[in-house]
Amino acid sequence: MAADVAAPPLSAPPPTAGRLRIRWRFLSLGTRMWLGLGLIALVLVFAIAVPLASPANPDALNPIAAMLPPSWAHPFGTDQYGRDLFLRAAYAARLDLMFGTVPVVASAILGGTLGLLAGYLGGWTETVVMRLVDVMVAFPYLVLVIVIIAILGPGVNGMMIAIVIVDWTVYARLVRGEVLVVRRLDYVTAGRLLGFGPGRIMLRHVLPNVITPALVYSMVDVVNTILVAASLSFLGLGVQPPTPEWGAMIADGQNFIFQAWWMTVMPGIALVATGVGLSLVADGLAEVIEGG
Amino acid sequence: MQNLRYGVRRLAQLVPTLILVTLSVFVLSHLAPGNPARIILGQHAYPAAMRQLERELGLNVPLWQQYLLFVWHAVHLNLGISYTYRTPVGPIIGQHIGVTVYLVVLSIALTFVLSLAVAVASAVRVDGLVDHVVRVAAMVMFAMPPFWIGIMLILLLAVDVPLLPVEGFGGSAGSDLYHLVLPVLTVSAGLIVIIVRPLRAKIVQILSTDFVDAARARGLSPSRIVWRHVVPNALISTVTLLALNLGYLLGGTVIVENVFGLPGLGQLLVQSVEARDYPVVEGLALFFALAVIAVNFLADIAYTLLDPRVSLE
Repeated sequence: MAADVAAPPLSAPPPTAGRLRIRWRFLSLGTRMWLGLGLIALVLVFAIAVPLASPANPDALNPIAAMLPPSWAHPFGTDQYGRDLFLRAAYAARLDLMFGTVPVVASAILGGTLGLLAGYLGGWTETVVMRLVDVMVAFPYLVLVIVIIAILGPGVNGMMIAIVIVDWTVYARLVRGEVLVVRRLDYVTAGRLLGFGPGRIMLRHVLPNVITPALVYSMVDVVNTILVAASLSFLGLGVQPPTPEWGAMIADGQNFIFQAWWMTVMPGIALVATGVGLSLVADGLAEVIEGG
Repeated sequence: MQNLRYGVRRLAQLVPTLILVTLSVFVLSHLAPGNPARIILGQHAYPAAMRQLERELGLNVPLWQQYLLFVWHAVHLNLGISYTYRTPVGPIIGQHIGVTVYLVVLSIALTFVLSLAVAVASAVRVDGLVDHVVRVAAMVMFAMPPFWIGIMLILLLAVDVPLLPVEGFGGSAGSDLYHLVLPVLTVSAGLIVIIVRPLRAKIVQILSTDFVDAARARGLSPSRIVWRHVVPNALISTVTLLALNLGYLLGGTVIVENVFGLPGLGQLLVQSVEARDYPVVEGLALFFALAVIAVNFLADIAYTLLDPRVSLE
């Protein structure tokens, strides 16, 4: 954010007024990046190590241990079937991290390619791609995803495909916008004069110069997509029981909100920790790359 | 006069979008599995009855004619017949619309006031305490899905201390408002987080303009500068940001209605998807898209009216 630097405070600070002029060093770029990476590492260790360390089946029922509050034996407590929520949250982490990566990579590749083609080739390609984008943008994001899930059928695959069908449009717009600027530049003209084909120019000369905003956005998109996937599973349109997923676990816990607060709080904390970690790194990278 | 001409031209630009949106909902309705006539009549329908219903539904004519028929029906609010309710889709949507509108309007009002206040407070002293608290809070809350925010509010305000109702709607206006407190807080929390950062940047920019410098040079008090010069200029940005994020807001209401058991369009949408009631799903898709298009159109018009500097070209 360039504006942060440029703006003077409204009332010019008297030289002696130091109380509110403390520099918040603990929030410096480096601190935030390390905090974010630390949180991500923690979630990764949680997702990888806990299922490895515990041989138990996360879906196995154990009615004797139903709805136990958090303790050393069950750090996140247990649910109404006596399943250990710590173990289930760890299995859920694997699934949710996949939701944050697979649809995002697919959307970025699909949208990036179409945006590159639309921006560089122009003409019919551009009209078709951008009209498609216009249609998608007219619908509320989540509503469109839900409507597509209605047709594909609820479940992990239907949900991921639906997300990609809607999400690629952002990348197409970002990349096309950059290509429109870059394609007028001298080095592209030079490439054309040297007799390079459009494929070579697009991949070797245009793409490396237009990809940055899309990459920056993809980091934020990871957080968005995890939250969307968790929301859809919460609504019962994504991951189906008994497979553990944070949103689905929270939906399950809402039925017992008066008896067992840990059933909603604990999976939510895992979800928020993941989101905050990824946001910290995403913001930090954006700041570094955009020079803000 | 100039405004009117701008409005008409802007209205004309909507035509291709409307065609594409209706076309895409039409395509969706054909991608939905199953023959509508068979779903309505059941597995053991007489072939003659099937053919007659197919004729009534217009399924026996070429696709382009079906599309024109679809648009013609949509214009007359005829959106087909629900598979589960066995009644026309239009009135079903009509019954659920009130709660959603109520929720959306109250959330927009709360978001408008709070995000403007928070953004001004943090922009006035860049890198001050408030600014940092807001930045950290916005980032943490950005990672909280609306449904979890809602449930945490229930835990804090309705379970231990039963201040507010957890779910339900319907009854007197007072009781409805009471039932909407937590849902409105939840929707607004998500929206404020999205809006407050760009709004803060905008206000920081306004604070560094010449007219603010001029006001400061004339010796106006900081509070007067903020209230009389900065806030009015920031209002326009707030309206624009709210309109841009309407899709996000509507997505939020879909989730929040399901958390709090509010019988609005979002709950209807999720229930219809689960029941595979495709006509209702398609009707809602069309309705939501038209609402977004209409609001963006109105925001564009409002923008030109609020800010005389906006060029009408």
